[in-house]
Amino acid sequence: MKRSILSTILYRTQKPSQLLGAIIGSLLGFFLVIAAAQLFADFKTMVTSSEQAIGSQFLVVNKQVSVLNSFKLGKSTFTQNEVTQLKSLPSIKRVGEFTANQFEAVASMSMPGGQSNAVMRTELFLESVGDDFLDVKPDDWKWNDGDEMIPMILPTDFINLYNFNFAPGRGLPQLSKATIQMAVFDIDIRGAKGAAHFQGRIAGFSNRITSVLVPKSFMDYANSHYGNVQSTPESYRIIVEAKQNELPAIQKHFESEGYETNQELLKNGKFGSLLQAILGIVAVLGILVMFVSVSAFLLYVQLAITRSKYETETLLRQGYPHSNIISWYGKQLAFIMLIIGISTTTLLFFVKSYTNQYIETFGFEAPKNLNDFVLLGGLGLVSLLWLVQYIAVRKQIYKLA
Amino acid sequence: MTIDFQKIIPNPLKEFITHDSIWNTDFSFKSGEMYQIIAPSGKGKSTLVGLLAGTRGDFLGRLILEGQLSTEFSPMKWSQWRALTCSVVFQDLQLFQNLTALQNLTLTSEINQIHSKNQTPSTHIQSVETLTEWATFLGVEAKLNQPVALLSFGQMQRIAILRALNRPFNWIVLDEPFSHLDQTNANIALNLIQKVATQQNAGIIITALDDRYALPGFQNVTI
Repeated sequence: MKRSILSTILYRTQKPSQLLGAIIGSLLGFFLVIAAAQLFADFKTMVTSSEQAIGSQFLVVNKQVSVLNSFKLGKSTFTQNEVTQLKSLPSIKRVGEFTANQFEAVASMSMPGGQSNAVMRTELFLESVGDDFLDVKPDDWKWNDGDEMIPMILPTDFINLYNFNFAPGRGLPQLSKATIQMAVFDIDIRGAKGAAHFQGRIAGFSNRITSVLVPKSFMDYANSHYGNVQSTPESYRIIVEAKQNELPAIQKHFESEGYETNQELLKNGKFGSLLQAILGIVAVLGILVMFVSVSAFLLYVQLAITRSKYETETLLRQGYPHSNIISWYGKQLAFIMLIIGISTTTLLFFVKSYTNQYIETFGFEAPKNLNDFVLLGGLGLVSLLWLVQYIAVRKQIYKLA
Repeated sequence: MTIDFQKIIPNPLKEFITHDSIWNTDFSFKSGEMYQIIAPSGKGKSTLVGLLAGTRGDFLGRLILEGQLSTEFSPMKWSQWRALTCSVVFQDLQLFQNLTALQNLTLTSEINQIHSKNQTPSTHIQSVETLTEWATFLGVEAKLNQPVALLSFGQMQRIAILRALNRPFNWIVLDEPFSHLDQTNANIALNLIQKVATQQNAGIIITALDDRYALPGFQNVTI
């Protein structure tokens, strides 16, 4: 393409090294901002994705058990009033109640081929909670009236205890989650109103809830058909989801009410808030750096226009319209901004794939791709920068006559 | 078509106005006529050129350019005025030093295309052949493909005159255009200017330092 006479005239006065410097400066500033935004987005995903316990916002709460409880003088269940009060707290997003079994449940598994068909047998304590509070959602996590098979969720701690404490000590084989999920066992339940036989299997493992969980539909059915107590049972444990960064407030409330919760989880949550705050600071610093580099770039553009003041004025005096000169500058700037945008995104992509490997060595899993909102935000930012520069150029060119 | 001065006092001349000048009185330039403004330095010759070109607006009074008040001109209107109506040779010539003489001449064609919005360009934009013909007439054809920076001031003056002629205009304003030309070359240039201006039925306004350059057939304007 033939280089326009305008480019020939206006480029002659420019210094490429200064332009390069201005571009690199803006590029670094822009990179810092979108890298911080991407880190923030990654971290947010890691925090909210439930398998990764950093900064979990779910707390399982129970009342302190004192000596009075042992003599059945105190109550360790939550009354409806107390639940309502928790729900009304501004720092709490939602509250779920656990329902415990009010019947006897026994799991058994015959070992075929062993000495005279040995049978493993254990009593079960079961709980159920609303599905929204689960951190795992197995595909077959449901129970309908009449189903023989009951899916169950075990705490991850159980399998860890077995694999890393129990099995090695007894010379038993370690079991993977997949192996355990293949096993089917018998469940017999018995209560004041009768008895029934079911089969059970492990559908999944939870990091969040330390309990043997069954679907709520099964728990409600079994409690009403075989349960020992008539009235709706009160919950011994409840689960709350805290609002973002509200853990300290909740902790304070729990202390004043004498509730207990997992302290480690609380610490994790606080750690998550701290990390978010640090990332926020990085983002603010990035914005500051970008502000400085954008100012530098703006100054460069002004310098470039001043440097070609004679050429521009001469063009204007021959009847070259201001608007055409402005749009020439606008196009050059758009091209530069495009370069900055594309190279920063590419750089970020490579840096991210490298840091992802690093993060994975700590057992976390960061999202593979760049966050859509970060990309959109970056695009918006680049457009905004272009607009600011365009307006500055426009103002400066119209001053010339 | 007229350019009307109504009681104009340029700010730099406020204290030096004399009664017989065109300042602070009513005066009209008429297109198709020829004016020469002969005055020593400091009387406002270049100021007058600046007013007509729209490069300065620091004056009292009213300047009416072909029926429109100059203060009501938009930036675009000024561009059109310069590209299509009033051609100016500035004292400092305002050539692009890094472009060749010919590139300077053909730049007006590009500007004309912008204003004609890609419709038929003006017939007053000349072909390279005609421009070469004119340059030969003025004795600068050998310089056409050289960067302007390498030309002498007298050669640059002739290139600037050619550039001013290579466009449509109702007015051509020249600020001391022959200052570095000998009498013969000045006459040749003046002949070309008059010929093109007559074709376009345009008014000519020429400033000069003293009556060494007094031009036959021109009206004298005192400032």
